[in-house]
Amino acid sequence: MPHLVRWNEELGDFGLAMIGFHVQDAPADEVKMKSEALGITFPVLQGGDVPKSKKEGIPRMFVFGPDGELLLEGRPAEAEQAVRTAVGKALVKAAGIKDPHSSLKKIVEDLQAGKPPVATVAKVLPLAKSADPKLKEQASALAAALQAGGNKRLQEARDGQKDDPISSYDSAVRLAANFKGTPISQQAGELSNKLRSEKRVAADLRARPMLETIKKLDLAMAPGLKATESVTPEFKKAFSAQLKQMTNQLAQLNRTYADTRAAKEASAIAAKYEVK
Amino acid sequence: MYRLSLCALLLLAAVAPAQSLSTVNFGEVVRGSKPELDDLKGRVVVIEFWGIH
Repeated sequence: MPHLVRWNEELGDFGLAMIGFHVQDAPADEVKMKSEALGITFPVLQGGDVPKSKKEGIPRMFVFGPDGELLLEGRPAEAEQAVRTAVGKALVKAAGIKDPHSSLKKIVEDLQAGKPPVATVAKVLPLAKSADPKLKEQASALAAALQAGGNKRLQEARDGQKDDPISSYDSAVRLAANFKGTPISQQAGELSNKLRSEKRVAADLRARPMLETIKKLDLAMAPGLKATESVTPEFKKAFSAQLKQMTNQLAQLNRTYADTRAAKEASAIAAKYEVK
Repeated sequence: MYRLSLCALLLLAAVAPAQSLSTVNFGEVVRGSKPELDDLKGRVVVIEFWGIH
C-alpha cells in the first residue's frame, strides 16, 4: 500500500485514479482504521471483484487505460512502469498530439516513456507562448492537459476549505509542489498560507511531529508484529521500550491535541499494538 | 475435428467481452466515495487487491 499512496500523490493530479479493493475477511471498521493509519486518501472498497482475474494472491494490481481496457494484471513491482507509461500516453492523447513539433518532441517522448509529468509542466508553459503557430497550438494543448487535474483539485480544495480545511490545506501544499512555476502553484501557495492559520489546520500541524514519532515506532515494530502475528507477551518484551515510548507519545498527543486528524491517525496506528 | 475445435475457440474469443473497467464489481465503500465510471472515463485506473492481515 505505501507505493499506492506514493503514486497517488505523484500522479493523482495527472490523470491517475487509484482504488483499493480489500479482499480479506475483516470488519469494515477495522479496514477503514487501517486505511487511515496508512495515510490512504483514495477510495477503499470491500466485496468487489475484477471478473476473470487470475486470483494469484495479494497484493495484485490491475491497470486500466483511459478507454477502460485492461492493460496489465500483475504484482505491484511489475505494474509501476505500465502505470507511468499509461499516464504519460494518456496526457499526450488528451492534448491531441500525433506529430509533435521538433521543440516538443523530447518532452512528448519522455511523457510517453513514463517520465514524471511533474517536471514537465514548467517546461511546456513557455512554449505555449511561441510565435510558431504549430508549436503554440500543441504546447497550449499539452499544458492544458497537464494542468486539468491540478485545476480541478485546486477548485475542490477551495470548495472544501470550510468543511474540511485540513484536506484542503494538504491538497494545496501538494499542488504548490507538483505544479511549481505555474499559476496553479502560486494560487495553491496562497490557499495553503491562508489555511495555515485556520484553527483546525494549525492544531493539526502542531500535532504532526508527534504523529511522525509514532509512525517511526510503527516502522520499527511492524516486522516484529508480522512475525508474531499478534501482540504476544514475547512481542511486548522484545519491544518494551518502543511500546512505552508510543504510549507516552499517544497520551501527550491526546492530552494536547485530542480532536485533530493527526491524533486519530496516531490512535489507529497505536491500536495495532494494543496501545491506548 | 481439429478445425472445428479451432473455429469454436476463435468464435469464443471473438464473442467473450475483453476485460474492461465496465465489468468490474466495485462492492461496498469502506473509505472515501464509490467510484463512478463516468468520473473514471479518460483516466488511468489502478485497482489493487490487498489485505490488512
